[in-house]
Amino acid sequence: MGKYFAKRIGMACITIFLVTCITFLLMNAVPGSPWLSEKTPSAATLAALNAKYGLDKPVHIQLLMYLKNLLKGDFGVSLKMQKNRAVLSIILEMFPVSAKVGALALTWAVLVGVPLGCLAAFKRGKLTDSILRVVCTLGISMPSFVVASVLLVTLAGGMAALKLFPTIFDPALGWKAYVLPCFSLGFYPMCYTARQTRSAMLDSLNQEYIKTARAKGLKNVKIIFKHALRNALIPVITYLGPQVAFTLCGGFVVESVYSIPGLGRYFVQSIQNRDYPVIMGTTIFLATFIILMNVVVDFLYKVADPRISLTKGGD
Amino acid sequence: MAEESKMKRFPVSMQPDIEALLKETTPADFAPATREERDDFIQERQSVSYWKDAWRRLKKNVVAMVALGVIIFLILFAFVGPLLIPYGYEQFNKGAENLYPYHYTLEDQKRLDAEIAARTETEVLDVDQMIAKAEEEAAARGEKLSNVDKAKIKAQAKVAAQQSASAEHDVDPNELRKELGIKKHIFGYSTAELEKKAAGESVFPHIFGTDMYGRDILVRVMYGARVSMTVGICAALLVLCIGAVYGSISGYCGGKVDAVMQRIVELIYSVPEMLVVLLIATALKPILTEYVNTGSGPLKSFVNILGPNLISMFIAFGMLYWVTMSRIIRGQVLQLKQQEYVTAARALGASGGRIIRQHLLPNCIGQIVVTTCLQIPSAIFLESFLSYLGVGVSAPLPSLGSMATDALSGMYTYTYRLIVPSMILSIMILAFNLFGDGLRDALDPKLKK
Repeated sequence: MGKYFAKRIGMACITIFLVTCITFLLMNAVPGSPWLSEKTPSAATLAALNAKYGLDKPVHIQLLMYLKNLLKGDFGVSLKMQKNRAVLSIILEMFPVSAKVGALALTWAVLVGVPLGCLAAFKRGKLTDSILRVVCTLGISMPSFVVASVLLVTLAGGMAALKLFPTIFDPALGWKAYVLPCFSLGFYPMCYTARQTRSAMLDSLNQEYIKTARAKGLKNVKIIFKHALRNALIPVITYLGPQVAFTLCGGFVVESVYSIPGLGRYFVQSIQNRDYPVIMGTTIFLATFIILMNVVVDFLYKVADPRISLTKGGD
Repeated sequence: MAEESKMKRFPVSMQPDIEALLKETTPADFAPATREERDDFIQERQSVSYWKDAWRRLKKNVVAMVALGVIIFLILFAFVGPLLIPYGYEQFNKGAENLYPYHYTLEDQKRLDAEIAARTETEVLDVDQMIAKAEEEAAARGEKLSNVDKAKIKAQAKVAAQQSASAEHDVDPNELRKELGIKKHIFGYSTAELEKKAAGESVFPHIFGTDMYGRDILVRVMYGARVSMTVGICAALLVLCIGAVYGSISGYCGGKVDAVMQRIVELIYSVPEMLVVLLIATALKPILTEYVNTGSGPLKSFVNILGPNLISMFIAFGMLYWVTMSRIIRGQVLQLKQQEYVTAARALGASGGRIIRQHLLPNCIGQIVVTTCLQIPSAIFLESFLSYLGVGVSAPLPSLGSMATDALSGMYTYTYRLIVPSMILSIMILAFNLFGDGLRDALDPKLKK
């Protein structure tokens, strides 16, 4: 067990290293520079700026310098968007905003998605199942910007009578500010979870031990939630692991639509502005988060189903 | 002995009485079948091929067939539609800016204008006239109007004028239309186009209206759908090629090769794909554009035809999304390579490549088709996402995602600009998803749930 996790963490470090290198090289391949704006600075200014931030050196030296600083926990400073501010402090400021919206969104997605999936599996072939199937397929067919902007048009001021929610995210407004962003962010995971749960539940409902449980005279609720669901949760956990990382770091689109000052929107802006250290910092942060979640997922497999042998299955 | 040959039959036995039957037969019954009869027999017992069987099952699935119909309609819409409509996707139709997808007839417009003019007719008199009137009144009373009084009158007149001006704005054309009983007519026409139409010329309507530059939204949606479908299908094929080669080699070779290749797959799995796709798409686009401008050879013209945008998009997609496909094919190959026919092929001296191409891949075709089909909607999804964020297809080529972004600015007034592309996009992805699900059920009945 310990050996297995040591191996996993070793792999994770290699992955993070590779992601760092790939991102760095890709980023430098994008033409344009952070100094481009309406007033183009003079050549001398540009050279001075490049020298100050080390952008005049060859790419591989820049990469080595970056990696060296990274090991010291230094993510560099923002070049453009919030000039000379440390990237780490920007990330630590934006992340809580995204994480709050994301956590709420995922919570409702799981709390609604899993029971809906169970219901559909239990009522297999009936009308309830068909309706749920259509709704969930529709849900995974609508990009989040469609959901977000249609909600904005209908519930946040499109029709005068229906201005229920604010169009621009403002935490001061309390729960009202969170309703629309959380709904649009969580709709896709909800439908996906419901579909996954349904097909996994159908598998486990056909197992012998369910028949045994039924023969013992257990109630349906107990059979579904205690015996069947536990086994059906494996694919759901697999999906949710990386999804937690993604959602907590902010839906890029939903944050843009509702003007949420979160990490996702900031990342997109930093790409548009060629703010290299911010791009790097955000990518490494998210990649580490995702890889960490994958390790957690492996651990959760063991909790959900003690029969799973990590050392064998994970290899 | 006679008793033995003629066995006693149970009176209500269902067994056919062979002897009685034999007595009825004539030698003609044993004559060889004619050619026609033989052909009929073969026809009836024709073996059902894998695809025919799958098609038969698919035909029974109403949802999948409806989805297929929608897909065919959308393909026609995207690839044939623009030929039928006389507007181009970059064509600025002057005088037809900001048209709604409905119009009012010319007579109704005139009536409305007249009504507005009548309601906002200034009841305020000219300032000079007012002063003259006041002076007259004052003279009649035997007084003289002071300058202060004149100034007061002027100020009053000014306020009144302002009030009437704001009242003019307050007249709501929509309310007025309701009062006058003016009805909306479908399709958008500009006033000039309506006049042309009245003059007897045939004018093609703007079915979904126009945008702020007077570009026809219907045509733009068609081109957008074309872009989405091209990206979806090309990306899925690219994923199929990379995934099939990688997965089958990894599965067939096994051992150390497999171990190394699977480590690479795991690496790619844990990369935050959205971020990297975003970066790749941004990085590749200018490189390809430069290549189109300076490069040479057949590859250049190929890149030029499809456009650097689209190519960078599906390269970005193909580079990361093949891992799922390769995993599925590897799993299948691992199972199939234990079968006797593979051993037989190897014993006959077939090379590894031949075994993979001729024996292994054709046997996992069902899985491959289903996965490819479900890859299409996810590629379309990603394309619209990238275009929405402004790093995908770039102007002037429209994309459903970028049309939705453009519509955000006038979202409340021109809602249809947001709704039309969003609807088409959602319907397209939905149809592909439903069809893929149906295909999975048809090709692999064991999986049916």
